[in-house]
Amino acid sequence: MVFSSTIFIFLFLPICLTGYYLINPKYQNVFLLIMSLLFYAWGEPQFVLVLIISIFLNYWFAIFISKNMNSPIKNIFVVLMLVYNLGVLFVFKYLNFAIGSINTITGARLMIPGIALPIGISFFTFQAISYVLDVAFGKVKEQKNILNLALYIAFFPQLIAGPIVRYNSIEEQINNRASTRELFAEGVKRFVVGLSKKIILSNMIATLSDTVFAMQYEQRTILMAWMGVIAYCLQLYFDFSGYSDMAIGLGKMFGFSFEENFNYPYISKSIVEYWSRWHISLGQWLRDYLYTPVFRSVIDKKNIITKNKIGLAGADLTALFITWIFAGIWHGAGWNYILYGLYYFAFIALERQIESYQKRRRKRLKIKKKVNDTVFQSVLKHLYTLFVVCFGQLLFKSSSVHDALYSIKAMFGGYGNSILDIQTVRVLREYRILLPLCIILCTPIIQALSTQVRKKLYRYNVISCLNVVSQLIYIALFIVAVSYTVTSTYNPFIYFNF
Amino acid sequence: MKKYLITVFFILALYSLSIFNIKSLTIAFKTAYTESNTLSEVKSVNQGMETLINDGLNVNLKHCIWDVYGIVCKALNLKIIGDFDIVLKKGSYLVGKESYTEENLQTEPFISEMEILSSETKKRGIDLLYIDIPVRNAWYDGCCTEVVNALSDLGIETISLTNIIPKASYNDYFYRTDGHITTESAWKIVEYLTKKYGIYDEYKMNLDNYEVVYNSFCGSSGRLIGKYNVKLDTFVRYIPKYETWFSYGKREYQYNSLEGGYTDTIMSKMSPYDGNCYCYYITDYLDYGEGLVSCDNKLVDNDMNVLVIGTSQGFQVAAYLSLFCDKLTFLDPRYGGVTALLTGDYDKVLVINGGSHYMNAEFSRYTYPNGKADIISTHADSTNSNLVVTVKNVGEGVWNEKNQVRLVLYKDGKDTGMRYFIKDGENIESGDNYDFVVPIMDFFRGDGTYSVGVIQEGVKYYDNPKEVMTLKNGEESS
Repeated sequence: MVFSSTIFIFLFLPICLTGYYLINPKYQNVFLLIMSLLFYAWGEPQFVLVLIISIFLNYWFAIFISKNMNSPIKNIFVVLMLVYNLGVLFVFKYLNFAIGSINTITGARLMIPGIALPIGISFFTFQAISYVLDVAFGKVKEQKNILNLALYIAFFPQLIAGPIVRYNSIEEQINNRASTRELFAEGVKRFVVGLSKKIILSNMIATLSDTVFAMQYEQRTILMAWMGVIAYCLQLYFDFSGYSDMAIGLGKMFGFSFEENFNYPYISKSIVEYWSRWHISLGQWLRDYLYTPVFRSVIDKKNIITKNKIGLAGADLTALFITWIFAGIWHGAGWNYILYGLYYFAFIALERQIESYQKRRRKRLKIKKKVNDTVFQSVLKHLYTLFVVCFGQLLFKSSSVHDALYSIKAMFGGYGNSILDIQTVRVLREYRILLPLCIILCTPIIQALSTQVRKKLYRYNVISCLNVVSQLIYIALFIVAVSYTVTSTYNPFIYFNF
Repeated sequence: MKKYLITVFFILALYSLSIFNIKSLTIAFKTAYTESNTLSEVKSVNQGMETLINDGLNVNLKHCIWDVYGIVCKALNLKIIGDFDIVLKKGSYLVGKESYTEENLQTEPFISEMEILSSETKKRGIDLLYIDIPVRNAWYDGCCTEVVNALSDLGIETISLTNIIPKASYNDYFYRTDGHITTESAWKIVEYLTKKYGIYDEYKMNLDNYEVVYNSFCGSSGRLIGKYNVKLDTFVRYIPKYETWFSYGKREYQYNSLEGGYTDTIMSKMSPYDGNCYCYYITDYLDYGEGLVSCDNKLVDNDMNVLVIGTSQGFQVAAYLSLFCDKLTFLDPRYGGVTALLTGDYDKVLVINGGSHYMNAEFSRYTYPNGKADIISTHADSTNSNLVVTVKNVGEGVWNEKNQVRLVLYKDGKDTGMRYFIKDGENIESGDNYDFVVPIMDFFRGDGTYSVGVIQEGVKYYDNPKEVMTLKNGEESS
């Protein structure tokens, strides 16, 4: 079941809201848990067991760890927990790929088991890991009520495609949350915005992206190839951020406040900044549970080759490398995803080295404050980031490394393809409104304009009229989004594959 | 309150949408879960629920939704729309951006089926004609030369719509908002056929003798983008002013045919939304979806018995042709079984086709030339008023509903057209028995001798009929 489906909007959500607000508050968590399991079972009835077992085992891992905080047994349980969770992830997500790769490299003919991937396994596994590690690090107290923990892991708004919610951000809310009218209203608005992003913008721009990527490489003109990639970047952003908005909105409807997952990533001026704005919950998870522990464990160790101590820079690079390999693999079981991770590692490492050099230079020249970028520098930085991101998303979209390279070749006329042709002109004409609209909407321009307008009109006492207008806009968006939902066929989220 | 406008609207919309569609939701659930036995069935049913719900949505709501969707597409100047890749061409023609080209068109099993049909009709001295309807889309313009050439090689007479009707404009054959041929095109085909078959009637061909009904029409492509985003078509219906009377048969009329005029039988499905542009007038003929209907024109006595095999492109042609023929049977092989060849006594067989999906049409399915059956026993089921007929598969091949192996009821040695089916999913291998269930009441259809036998539809009768009972003066005499 997806949020942007008639069955969710017309059936599941009304039942869920009705039951939640009519039921005795004592049982609200249990009700939400049952509905969440039903939600998961809707698409994957057989994999509900995987989810339930994961909840059960991680619950006991946390309990055992908390009882042995000052004992070496704690580390054994931590290792066991990691082995179990990562093992499950490996079996369901990577085993087919691993065996396939072994067969390709060694020429062996091992049987590929063809194991199906439970939807959302990466998300709920990471949530479970983060919870148990937080207990182990002493950041949170273990949740003694297994049903509450189950709700944290399996809560349907974020179960399938995030955001990856940290237990400490939700701990208090599980036991003690206030479902106010304001929060509910915010949730509705957020849900409507997310639904509109997904159904209207993402699905519509996807037709351009799909059209281009369905063409043979040689048939794509240079402009067409670039339009396809740009369209895919926009599609991915609206799809994923739309889903996150819906998840956050749904959470609010039930009294939960989740952290933001996207913050206009395409306005970034560096790749480091990009990843602090794109899929924020994943970035933070990787930083806190992979990068930081690896960094700390590597620093001051002896380098195997040089026998010198690995300094800050070395530790940073090592930790980044491992983190980004992992990040790439998390996104999918394929060499293109590993390359995706390495690709971003290279740019992030480079940027951090440049940043570090600039810091040392300012210190040497005794310049206290960082000088702001000129307009030209800003534009250059934006363009650089967008270029890097475009090629990164191409790696993400492509089914293989070869596929990505061929696409890049087409983008630079490597097949002798022209810049423009009749079909390209037709497509440009077709998308002359939608494409610029999507580009504008993936920036905070509208929000900034709205704030400016409110400031200017404040003195004229028309704010309440503006509020009504904005409410009407939300209503119109909802009507349009529902109409699209009904007229569209099945439209799952791209990140469902994780 | 102003700041909660969207919240109130959202809740109202959520619940009212659910309440107004409670019927479709309930039916969807009931249909889904009474038919699922395994986990994988449940999963596939869950995935199909969306379609069930969308199909069952309140009609007015659906029309409103199409309009909204279309307005937004228009505002965004989109010409390529939705998952169906509808392209709004110049002149407001909607075409499907189908991915196939003439090169990769699947022509089987259609060519093989036509070969069998040709052989059957030749054996019986029946004229066979194939009318090709060009496929209306941007990438494949013109008749399906590959099919026409293959049929010609088989010695089958073929003609294209583009030859029947002088080609003013390719798009003149079709609606703008729908892939079907227009009523005017169908009428031209009927004119051609009546002349060819020697049943031309000047009076009936004169449209002054018809009430011509015009309706705005937004066809199957148009409804995907709403009436504000297209130029609406005009759907024309010709309703005879002169007297008509038909004996109209279809599966549910196995006991008695429906008797009535043209608008009570042939064109009996006038939609309750008549006048609404979203009304799908194309399905107003011959109980669209029924699969097999027979029209006995009681006011025509020219002995012309025509079998029309067609997809939806042929509905209007068959409906209007029935005004000129003594008897006409329409078979849409996408929906139903092939009994027509065996139970009819045709003078002409006409195959009307168009579109890629017709290539899946199967007229003679999975034929087993050595199919045989032994009727072992017949006995009454003590728990209900059914007769159980136990039959043994003593020939080659597997019996199942897909192969259309069925039990047939005879009366006085003649096939009544009544069929009893093997349950879906069941396969009766050679050497196995199967119990067919026949309601006792089916035998009480007038005096005569009733017997049962096994048939593979469109292929052969498997055995000699076994007598079950004889009725005399309404009572069983043996």
